[in-house]
Amino acid sequence: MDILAISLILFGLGLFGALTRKNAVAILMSIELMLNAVNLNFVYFSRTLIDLSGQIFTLFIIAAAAAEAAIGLAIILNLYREFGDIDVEKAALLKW
Amino acid sequence: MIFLPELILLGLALLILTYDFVKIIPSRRLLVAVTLGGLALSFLSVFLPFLTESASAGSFLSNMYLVDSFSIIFKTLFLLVGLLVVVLNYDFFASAVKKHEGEFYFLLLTSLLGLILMVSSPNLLMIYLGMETVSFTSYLLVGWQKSVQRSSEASLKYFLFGALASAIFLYGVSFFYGLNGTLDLSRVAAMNIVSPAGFLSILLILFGFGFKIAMAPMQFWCPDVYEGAPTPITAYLSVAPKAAGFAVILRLLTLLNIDLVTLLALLSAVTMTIGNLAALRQRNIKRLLAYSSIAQAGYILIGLVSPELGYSAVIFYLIVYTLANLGAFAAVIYLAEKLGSEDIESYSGFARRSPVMAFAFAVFFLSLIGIPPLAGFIGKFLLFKAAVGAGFLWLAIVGVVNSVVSVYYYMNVMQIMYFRNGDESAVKIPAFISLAIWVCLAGVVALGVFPNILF
Repeated sequence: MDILAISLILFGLGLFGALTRKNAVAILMSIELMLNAVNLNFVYFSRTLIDLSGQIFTLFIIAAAAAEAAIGLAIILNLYREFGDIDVEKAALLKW
Repeated sequence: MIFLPELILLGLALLILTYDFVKIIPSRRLLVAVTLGGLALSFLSVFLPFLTESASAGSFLSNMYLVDSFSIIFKTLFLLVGLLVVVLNYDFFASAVKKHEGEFYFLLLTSLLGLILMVSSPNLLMIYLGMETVSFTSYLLVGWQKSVQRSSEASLKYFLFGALASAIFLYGVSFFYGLNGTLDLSRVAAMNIVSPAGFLSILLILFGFGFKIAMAPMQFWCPDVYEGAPTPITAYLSVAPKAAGFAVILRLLTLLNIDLVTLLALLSAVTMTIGNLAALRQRNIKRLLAYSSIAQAGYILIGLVSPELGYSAVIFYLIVYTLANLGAFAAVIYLAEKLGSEDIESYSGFARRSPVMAFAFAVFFLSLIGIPPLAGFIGKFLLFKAAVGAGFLWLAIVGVVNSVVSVYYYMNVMQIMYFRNGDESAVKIPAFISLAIWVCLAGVVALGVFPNILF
């Protein structure tokens, strides 16, 4: 149960960061933190259930997170080229 | 033989990617022809099992992959959408983007493959991987016009919200796994959703799919992304991932046999009301269609409250909505190119310049409103009937009131096209766009007059 509490804290920190940060890279990092909380959960459940599929899921999440980071950084780089900044509030052409 | 549609799609995607690298014969027409040909082949091979009567339905790869009538319906729908989007893209690319067309089709085909994987599996791992395949490729497709600020911004917003939604979805999946000891939805004996952890896990999983279908309260990304994305991609995003999200929710509800009707009814009412009220004040046609698609998702959610009548109504309405929305976007692509504007006011008097185009536009909008004898009427009728049958009379009334509200903004566009004065020089519609429009028009009318061909 302790591990679930740790993962909850980690997930909460990530969610808080993702919702409050203004720097796009910092938001990306916060989301990675949330994914790590999920990984921790999966490994913990996999161990208590004595079932391997949770650990396999973790491996897939790590791979997907790497792809996500690559795509995300490419998009953020393009944002920097277009707006000269990676502050998400500066990119505000589209609204109501 | 079983995986033929998927294998053709994968092979085609890799072929296009290699072609784009090597470019032995640099020709746009060849590229589009190969893409369309491969997609058509994949589309036809979906029906192959029906002709040979071989053992086609069943589960494969230790229940990771299902080939059943449910997944076949959605496969057909996605491949049809793929064909129409490539057709729409032909003229759009020639005028607006011009660069990296091969990679563009590669990503589009990969995205289609992801959609197919997503709806064909009862396993949450496979559903997650399919969903991420769709998401990653769509983030890139939305930002395709790299030198356009709006496109870059839309892509960033889509990426950040999408990544956040998938992390939250995964947190729900991890609890689902911990509680049930399996990721396979069909092996869950009885899901206890009364316990806080069980309810939380289902809620978070629903959140993940809710993002894809733009269900309230996860609809806020939708208008920005739809406005900033290249229009063929907006058309694609407004129909295909939405249909896939609904397909997975349907699979979840049928396999787990859980009772979420009250929650879904509330979400449905909130989603359509938000979509319709916000659409009333839009001046940009793509934003208007974005809010209209949120409202349409709300109508489709109505069907989820009734397992007996509603689920088939959901599938029917998804098909009808797909055709009408793609047709409307085909017209938008053409008009944006011709008039150089996505502003509704700029459509003044367009009916006199191209009566056919204006008529088609009107038919698609009338179908989205739900006017007989068009297919949208049958679809909405089935959904509302399902709600009443399940004892949700109030939801059907909310749906009808919302449809009436929606008449205003759809009619407003038509009124501007037909009754305002503008430029009167006649215009010609490019062959590809008119092909897409005719296909959608035929579908919308045929399904309205003969709805039985689907059942």
